[in-house]
Amino acid sequence: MVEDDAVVLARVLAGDEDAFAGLVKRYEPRLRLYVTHIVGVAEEARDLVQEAFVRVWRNLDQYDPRYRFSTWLFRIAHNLAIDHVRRRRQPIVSLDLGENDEGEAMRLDPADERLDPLGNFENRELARSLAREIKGLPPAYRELVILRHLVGLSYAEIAELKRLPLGTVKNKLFRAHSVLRLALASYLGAAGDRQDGVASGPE
Amino acid sequence: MIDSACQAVRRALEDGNSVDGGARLHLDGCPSCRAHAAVLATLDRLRIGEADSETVQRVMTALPPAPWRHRRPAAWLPVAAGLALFGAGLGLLGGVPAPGAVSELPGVFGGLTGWLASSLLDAVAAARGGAEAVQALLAVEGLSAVVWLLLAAAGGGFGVRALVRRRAEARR
Repeated sequence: MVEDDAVVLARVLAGDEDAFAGLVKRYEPRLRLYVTHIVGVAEEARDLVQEAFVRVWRNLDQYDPRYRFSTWLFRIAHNLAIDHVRRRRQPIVSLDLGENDEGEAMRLDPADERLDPLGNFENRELARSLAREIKGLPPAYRELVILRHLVGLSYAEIAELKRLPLGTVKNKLFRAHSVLRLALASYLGAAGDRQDGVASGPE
Repeated sequence: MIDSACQAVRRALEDGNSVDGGARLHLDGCPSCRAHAAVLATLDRLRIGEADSETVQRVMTALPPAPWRHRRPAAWLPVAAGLALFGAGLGLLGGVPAPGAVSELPGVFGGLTGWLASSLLDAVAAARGGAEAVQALLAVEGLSAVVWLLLAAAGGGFGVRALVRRRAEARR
């Protein structure tokens, strides 16, 4: 059973400092995926994520339990990544889930198979199409799809992190899903060809 | 356009709720909603795993000694020491200067004006009392007592500054 973040934090603050490793284990790959989405370079993302954990560790006694730990952690990593991109004076690039020269779905970090979210798809054609369609989504939709489905944050966590109303997050994701449904209809073997639901999500 | 039944079923799917009998019937007869469910199921398979032990070890090794273990007493100690020294200083002087008889006067004005005037005169009386206290302290105890009080004020100030900085760092 996965221990609740608040319980782990209480253990750490009570003196069991090794319990922090559980949080690193849980969040490092997801955080690295998110930071890679912002900075575009896997090696830089790895270092920034490590720095984010160090900052969290330094200020652990300042954590406000009214908010989710994941939101705090992702917010710190987000700020670090944005500062890093600004220092580099390069534009923020999006997560590349496209194809390489051999037509294979590209991994986020070739050195780490855990960071290949498409790796567990037996249907490689579907995996490639999914990667291509996610990459082709409007940026505002793409980031939410990454946060929801690749990073694995809940709607509420995304709303907190992005400082958006919960309803807005749900509506944007609904529309993104509708776009993906239309694009992937031929792979999913169902009628996704109706132009419904894309313009108007559930209220 | 999708109808209200489609809306309800898709909302339930998006929220991760289990579909009931009616929704299941709708899904059986609605290819478009089935496709929506299939997209969500496909996306749910994208979750990535946990970090390996090597990665965890790398991050854990990079962590400094837990700074918050010593920070709380370190931040509060100067404040406590400042307050203690200040209290000791006041004790040495024989207590807080009592408000002078002049501060009783504004009562005749009454209301807010009276309260403001009273506060102002209290502040003046306190300042004057403080100056007299420092003079008396210098006469009785010498310069070392004043240095002592200054150190207390500096310690308190340092502590407050440390607390403010900690809060600002945590917000980042």
